[in-house]
Amino acid sequence: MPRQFFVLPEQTVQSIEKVLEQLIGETHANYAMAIDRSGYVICSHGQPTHVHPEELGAIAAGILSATQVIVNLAESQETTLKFHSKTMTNFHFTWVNTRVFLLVAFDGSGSEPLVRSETKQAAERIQPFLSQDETQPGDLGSVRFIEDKLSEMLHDL
Amino acid sequence: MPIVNHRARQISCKIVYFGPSLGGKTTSIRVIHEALPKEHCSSLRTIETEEDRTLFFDFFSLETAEIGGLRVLFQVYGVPGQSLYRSTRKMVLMGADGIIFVADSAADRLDDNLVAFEDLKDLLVEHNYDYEDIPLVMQYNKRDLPEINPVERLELCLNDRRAPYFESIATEGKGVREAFKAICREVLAKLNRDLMGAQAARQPPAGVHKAESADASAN
Repeated sequence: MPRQFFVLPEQTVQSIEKVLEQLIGETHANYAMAIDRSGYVICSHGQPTHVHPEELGAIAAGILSATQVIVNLAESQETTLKFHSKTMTNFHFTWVNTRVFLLVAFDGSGSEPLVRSETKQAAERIQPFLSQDETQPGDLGSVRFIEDKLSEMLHDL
Repeated sequence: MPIVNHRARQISCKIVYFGPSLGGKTTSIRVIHEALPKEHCSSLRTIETEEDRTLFFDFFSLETAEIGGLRVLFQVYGVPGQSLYRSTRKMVLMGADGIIFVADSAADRLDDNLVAFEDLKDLLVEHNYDYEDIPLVMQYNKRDLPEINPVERLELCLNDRRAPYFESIATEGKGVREAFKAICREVLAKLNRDLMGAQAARQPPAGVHKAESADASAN
């Protein structure tokens, strides 16, 4: 039977948040996000100020998926988008597993080699949290009430 | 596949606008985005060429207010329709929970619609989707053109699973909202069915309880 849900238990997300917090502390990066390959932001430590996190998640997932073709040719699990200006934010991406990747944003004052090595270690620490193959959505009950609320929201459309 | 984040008390669902190039996908997304309450959605992000053709994708997110401690996040994407961007379409379609197929009603674009629809089906297979199972809504756009295919013909040629369909004139905002509401309803209905199914699967059959109780009494 095909999997119907990608389930993130509270404990799993909390554990990932702790790793991201530690990563920011060690690298002095601006923020770090764990993102599903579909573009969904699972959690983050720190927030982008210039763009909505959901937008950044979608764009990052798109860029990474597109770049992955080239990355695969180079047999690498990492990608860096580096902008050659001290005022710009640089983005470092590392895959945690085939489904989730980390995005770390750092500015000119950050060290790229440090960000790379620490992000790689963070990904390795996060891997076991995501390896528990949770497929049951838990006791969420019916979402009928969401349907009703959505109908209200879209009523004036 | 919906993502259930217990920490955020959030369920994320992905809706994708698919269809031939210049069929009205981006216009439809703009219409929806402009009409939605801004406090519930992100800004609309479009990545396009200098000729305003979608190059990468269009995107915005819509989040319902928290009710009963739960929120639903709709991530709305539009794909580039041009044939050379197939790999981008495949990428955007990954994880989709519902699809609006925006067909161009112009008389001379039936073949383009058919090619795009076959492309959609092929990509769904490549992502291991069951085409019959994924929520789908048909939006027959550009109904204001002088020479158009009748809806009956579009239905016959494209809508082989008899998904709900809507006629639209996206440039005037007509029919677009109805199609969007319909896909949201379809996605939520499927989500509800799957949630109920998952909960039923977790509960042991009634007979098992009785047998265990009988054993306990005997001991």
